[in-house]
Amino acid sequence: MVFEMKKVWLFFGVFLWSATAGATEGAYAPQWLKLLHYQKNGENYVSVVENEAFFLTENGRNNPQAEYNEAIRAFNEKGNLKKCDFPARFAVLKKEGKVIGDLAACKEYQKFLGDVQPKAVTLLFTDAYMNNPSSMFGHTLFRIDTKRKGTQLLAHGANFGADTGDEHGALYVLKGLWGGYFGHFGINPYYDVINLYNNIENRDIWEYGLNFTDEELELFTAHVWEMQNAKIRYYFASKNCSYVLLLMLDAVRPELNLAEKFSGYTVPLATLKAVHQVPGLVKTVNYRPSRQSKLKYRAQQMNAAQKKALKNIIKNDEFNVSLLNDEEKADVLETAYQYVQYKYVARDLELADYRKKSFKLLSARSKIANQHQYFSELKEGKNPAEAHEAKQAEVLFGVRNGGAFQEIGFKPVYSSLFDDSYGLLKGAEINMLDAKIRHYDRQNKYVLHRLDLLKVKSLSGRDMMFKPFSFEMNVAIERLFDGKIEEDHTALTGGVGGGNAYALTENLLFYVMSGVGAGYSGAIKHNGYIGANVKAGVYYNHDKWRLNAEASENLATNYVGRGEKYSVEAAYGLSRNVMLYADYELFKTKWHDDETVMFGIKVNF
Amino acid sequence: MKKNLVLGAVFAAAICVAQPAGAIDSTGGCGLGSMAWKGQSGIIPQVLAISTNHTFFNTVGVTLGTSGCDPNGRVTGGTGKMVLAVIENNMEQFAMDASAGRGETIETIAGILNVDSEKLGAAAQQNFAYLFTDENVEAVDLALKMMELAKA
Repeated sequence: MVFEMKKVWLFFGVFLWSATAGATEGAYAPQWLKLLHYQKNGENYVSVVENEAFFLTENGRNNPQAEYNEAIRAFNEKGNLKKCDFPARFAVLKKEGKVIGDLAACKEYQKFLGDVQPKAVTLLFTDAYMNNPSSMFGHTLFRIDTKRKGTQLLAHGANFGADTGDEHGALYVLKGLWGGYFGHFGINPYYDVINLYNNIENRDIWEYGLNFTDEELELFTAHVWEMQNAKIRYYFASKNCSYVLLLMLDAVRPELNLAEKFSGYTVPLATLKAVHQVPGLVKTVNYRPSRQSKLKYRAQQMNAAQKKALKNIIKNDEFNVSLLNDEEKADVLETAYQYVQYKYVARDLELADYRKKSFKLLSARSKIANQHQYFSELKEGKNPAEAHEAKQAEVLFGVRNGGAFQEIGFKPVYSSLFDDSYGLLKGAEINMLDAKIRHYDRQNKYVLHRLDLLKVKSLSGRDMMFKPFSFEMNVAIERLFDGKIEEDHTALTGGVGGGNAYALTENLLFYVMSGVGAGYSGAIKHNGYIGANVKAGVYYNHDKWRLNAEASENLATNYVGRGEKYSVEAAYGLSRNVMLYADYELFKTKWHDDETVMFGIKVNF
Repeated sequence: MKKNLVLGAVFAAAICVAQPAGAIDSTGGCGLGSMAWKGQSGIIPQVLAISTNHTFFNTVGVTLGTSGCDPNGRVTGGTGKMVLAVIENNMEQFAMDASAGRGETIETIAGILNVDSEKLGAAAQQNFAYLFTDENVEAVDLALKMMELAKA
């Protein structure tokens, strides 16, 4: 028995040894495989990097061992400067004791290190464009923090993007989906990153400081250098910027294994969450508000006299701040100046006019000799890494026209008006492939009640400074109610609409919209209809409560699309990912009405 | 694959496409507003940028060793070149920071020049009229004057 146990242990030991042998070093160790971005393809390996310049051997893309051997040979060869193109590989091989020497002779790489002066690595997430729900997925890039004296304005962003050239429209989308473009890494000063996202696109930037060791920092910086010339086939939905960023992190710390969790579609917000959830990896979170966020925050803090003065400046070009004290004046002038910048970038101002206004405001501001900032800066945001999870399942119970039903639903992405908007764009929704299946007790049958292929809505309040457009868009397979015979017909429907929303309070919007739509169904006359609608509604979102009430008048070429619709939907969040939900809908037609009330629970995961 | 197709169609508009190469036309000068549209291509920004007065820039730009509004390079060079790069690429923010006597661009320039940020801010504010002689002032002019103020 003892002998047998020994045998088992021995066997187990050999197994462990063989599984880990070479796992820390060599061509098939995770470090080498991930640094060259090899992935297993059946029995073989293939790198996601496609261009020959990234490899030392002819078949290097498929042969980790040949690459490994050739790297050792070339990096040890006197006078061979190939190592300068691949400083990260050099560092790994040096650590393994396979190569000797250093990179002192690599002029360009040394110049790069001298410019960048790496101190740390920060993951950047730029969140939603105001008024654009699809941008809720965000964008991710890296920052190599600098040791330079001064501020991180002198750091560098490392961005992976697709080279799409000048193509637009359908070709652009198709090429992007099927990998028709290549992506590569670009390096820019951090102030360029700030200007682009914060000031031109008005998107907040989140800075997640990564907890790297000095060795990891060195490897990362070196790897960014060698990735500048790497071409990776770019897929909008899967192998996109955020996926490649995970590959980069895996290359530096192979045990992270972040990329393999994202084999299907990948969105930046999801990868951010994955990074955020690795224990100890993110050590600091810093929020850098967009110009628009700053402006809104400043305006909120103003007293009535300041608001009036600001309005006079930006609306009527009337420059009267004499009633304000110096502190109040300074805030108004600084805010008005930033608003002028905003208007100019939005192309609402001519250059000459813009310069004149800017100059006037700043000249006045400079005469108030106080460097103190009176308004508090907007420092706290809602961390998008802590937003609700993307997938959602629901179970609802309801009654429709006197008959009980149960409904189950699922959607893979992303957020509706009734989900917790923490860390996301409030008043915006984007849902895809949202399926709902019902069981009606009376007929005892299951039906696909509704499949929203795409549902987008953006309610964005207009105020003195900002005039966003509110809109909605929808493509669905749904059950159309036929009031004449009190039955449903399966139909493909779609619609678009737009209008304005007004902020009645900070959390309450009133909106009016008009739109057009169409439906196709074999079961109705002429197989389809076109229609138009006008609607008005209120949307409330504060803390745990989300509520939307809407009334619409619908005109259509077929009676199934005609009538008045009323709906009240409400949600109460039990936690960020769990909510109670209730819905009342009434469709008043010329014949019978269609009335539904339901209640249930929705869970994000 | 189908799932990817539908999702991709929607993401296409939003996800991480490379920013268009800096569309700023360096012949348009480097004054206030010249960098505000950096990264945006199209005819309108270029036309507007060209309308900028730029006679002063060409002569002094050579002295400091830059080739003009350089939107895509790395942070590099000696102190003069770096101060110029920070000002010309952050002109709008710098103008505000100078008028208020504080801010991130002032801190950055003070760091490059290794001087006290508060003092430099105060000097910039007091000398705002000297820095910004009119609304068409150029980055090179400002960089030289800021270096002068830092010495004082």
